[in-house]
Amino acid sequence: MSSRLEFRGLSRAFGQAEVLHEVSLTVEPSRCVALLGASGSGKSTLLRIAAGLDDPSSGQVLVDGSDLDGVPSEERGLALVFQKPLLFPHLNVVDNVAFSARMTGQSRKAARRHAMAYLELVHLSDLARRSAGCLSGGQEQRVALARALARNPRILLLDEPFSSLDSRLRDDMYSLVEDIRAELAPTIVLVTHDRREASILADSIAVLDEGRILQHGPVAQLHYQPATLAVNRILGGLNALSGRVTGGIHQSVFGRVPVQPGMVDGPAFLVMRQEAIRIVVTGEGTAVGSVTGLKSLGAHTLVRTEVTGDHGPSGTLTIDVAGEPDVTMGQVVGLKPVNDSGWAVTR
Amino acid sequence: MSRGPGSPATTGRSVLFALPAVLPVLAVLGVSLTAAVLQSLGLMPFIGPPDLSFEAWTGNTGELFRATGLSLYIAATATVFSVCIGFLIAAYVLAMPRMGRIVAALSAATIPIPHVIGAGAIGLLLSDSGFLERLLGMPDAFPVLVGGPWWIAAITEYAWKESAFVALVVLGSIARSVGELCDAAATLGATATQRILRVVLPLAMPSLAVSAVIVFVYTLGSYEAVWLLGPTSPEPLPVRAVRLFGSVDLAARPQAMATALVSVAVGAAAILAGILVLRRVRGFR
Amino acid sequence: MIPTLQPASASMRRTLPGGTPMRMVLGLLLVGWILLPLVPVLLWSVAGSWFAPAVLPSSYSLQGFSALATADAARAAASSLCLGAGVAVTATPLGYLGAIAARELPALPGRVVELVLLAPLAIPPFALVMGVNVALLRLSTPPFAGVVLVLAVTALPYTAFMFRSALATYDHRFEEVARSLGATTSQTARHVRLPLLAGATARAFFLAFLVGWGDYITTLLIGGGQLLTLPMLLGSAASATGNEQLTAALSLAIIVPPLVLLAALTLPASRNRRK
Repeated sequence: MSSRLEFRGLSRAFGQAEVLHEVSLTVEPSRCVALLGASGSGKSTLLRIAAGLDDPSSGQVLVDGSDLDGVPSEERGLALVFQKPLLFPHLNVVDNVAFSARMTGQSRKAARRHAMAYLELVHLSDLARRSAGCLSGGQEQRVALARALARNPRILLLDEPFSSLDSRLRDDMYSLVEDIRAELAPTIVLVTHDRREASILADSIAVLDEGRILQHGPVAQLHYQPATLAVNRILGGLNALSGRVTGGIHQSVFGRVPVQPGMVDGPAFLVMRQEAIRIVVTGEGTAVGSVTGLKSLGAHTLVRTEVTGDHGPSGTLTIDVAGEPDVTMGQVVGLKPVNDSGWAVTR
Repeated sequence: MSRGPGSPATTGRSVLFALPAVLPVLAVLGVSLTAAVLQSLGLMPFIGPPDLSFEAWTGNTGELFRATGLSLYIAATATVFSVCIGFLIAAYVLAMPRMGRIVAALSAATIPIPHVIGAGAIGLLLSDSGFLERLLGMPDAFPVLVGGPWWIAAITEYAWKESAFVALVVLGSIARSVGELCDAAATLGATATQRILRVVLPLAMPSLAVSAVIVFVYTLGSYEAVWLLGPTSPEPLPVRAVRLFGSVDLAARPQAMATALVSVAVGAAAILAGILVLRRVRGFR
Repeated sequence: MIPTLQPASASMRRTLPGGTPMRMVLGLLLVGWILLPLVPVLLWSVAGSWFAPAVLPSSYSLQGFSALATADAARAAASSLCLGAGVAVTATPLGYLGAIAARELPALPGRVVELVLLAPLAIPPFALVMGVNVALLRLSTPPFAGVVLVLAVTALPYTAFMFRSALATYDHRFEEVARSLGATTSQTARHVRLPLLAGATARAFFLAFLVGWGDYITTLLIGGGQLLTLPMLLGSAASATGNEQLTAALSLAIIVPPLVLLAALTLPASRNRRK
């Protein structure tokens, strides 16, 4: 039941403001792509266009190679789960899930039988007869998910469906999505502003900023090999040291770090995730920094250090340390990258 | 206020608040209904000693029944048209961004127009050689609408005024949620017609039911349009009551009161039926 | 009065069956339905002579309006205005008190108060008046006061409902926030509750005013011809034939002032909303 979804040069302007600019993105069958971006980055508009609820100013949406232009929403075979559950208040839980089957003309009985299977999938078959208004937030969103899946959609579009749930419920929903992927293997496009959610659920992440796709790639690539400083920032990277690349080596206060092949000589930033640096005894590291800040994240601590050296202007490096670090403010520590090579970007 | 509902101090003050609003209503309603019952039984005559008599109730039952049936016909027909047209207006307003705004504003603007004016306007429009007949080129087959046997002009007046009311009530209750729910329905495969019938209509059902009851009870007891636009005979309840009430023959007073009480009873029955239906509608939600 | 409209969503727009021509036709039909009864009123109000089968008047004049420039008409306008204002000034605060009480009382008495406030809707106005008339006569209440009393009771359901729905969406916590920011009870009432309920108050006042301004049957039965208002003039003009110009001019004289008031109340609000 899964299909290939492709956006080709999609733009959307509301009056003067362009919310999407020449967006091109391909989602392979049964894959899950997360569109990651801040609010107002145009990501929900992209889903609404895919679902046929909004029209692009230019560009195409293709499913399995065929253009959907002019095809009304109800004939697209895509299901959209909205940020709000939007359960029909005049129908009970099972009739909400049975809605799409009823629309295709099936009898109430057959539609309900079909719906029950999907309610079981989201572990809510006990509440089938309950009124849609008497559910908790998490249950409502599960019903919405079941209702979308009961349509047997070629593609499942998720528009921040978990953003209003608390963190524990959200983790439950993540494992539910995993079950669904294992069982039904739909093609999924997930829109989110939460990079953790994107990383947990998606095979690949497309970073959307001000209506443009900055980078699309596997989760690890986005984290460790961002295309730009903006991508690094959006994915939570805290470190970018300015310096210079000469002959494949980046030189900065952090020392000489071999970077990816193909980097042209010139000024560049060394991008190094806070999780990929270790604090070591002075002398064992490639650089030396003095601790200027400690910030607890609970089980983790962010250690801010001021790094000075001979090879460039001083800079700040933040290191994510598991547990309580054995350092004090002002202490001078050695810093060492986890990997021998680094990643440089020019902008 | 900050102590929240239910605490004894708040309750005491709330009772004090309720009195000035509740007392006049109870006084006027109580006095009115009691006096009407007493007068209909001859116990509260305008002149002379009280004299218990059921003459007003039993004397001319045929005419009373006819008036009741006629009033029910007019109110029911007017309610059906108001509800259908009102829903149509609401659906159009929700669906069309620009034109809908204009229709909504025009429709809301007719709400402050008193019924007596609506009746006058419909009279000018539908009467014999009125504006509509002139627009249509004075066809020979133009039916008698004002003062005709089917009370068409009066029903049109009610439908015209009350459809705007129904549209306003429906819009007020569903405008906020209906757009998103229609989006959701569309992505679930519902066609345009299905979205109207399976989403918009059921969502509007409670407000349609409530407004239908209000329109029915209102048209049942409304005087102006049936008086101005109906034939002189037969008479619906309000016209009969007002004629008897104003009659120089003081013996007609008890009959006027009986007629008025019948319309109160029919209205109350309609409200009870409406509440039962609403319970059903709410229950299946 | 006009409910807040969300911009029609794309699929809602496609929700009307039929194509663009069908929608155009439906739109025109609805506009026609709403406006058509008012067209002959407008034409007759400025018509000189207008004989069938002419679709438009053959000559125009202001005779309808000039017939309004009499002492009787001026007195009627003044009584209508006083009646509207009297009903509004009475029914608006009472509706507010009733709505507050219904909200704050425990469930059962609250429900009773609500039912009592809605009860006048269930009684046909003519029936209400006929019964109460005897009592008003025995107490020799002046007709004007009697009409205001009965109409205020008729208007109470509307004003109470307006405040009730405003209070239902009114978040009580605004007042708690104000108190926690150091506002006294009276400051909270003046700076928080009053502005937040101003819209509902205006709507309630407007509706109650209309009940008095446009009333026909109550004035007829209680006033017994002594209390002359604009609708009374209209009633006698419309029930006789050959008075089309006067009927039309009177209709406009009754419709236009509230419409201007309505526009003044709603237009600034909707403009703000659009911003």
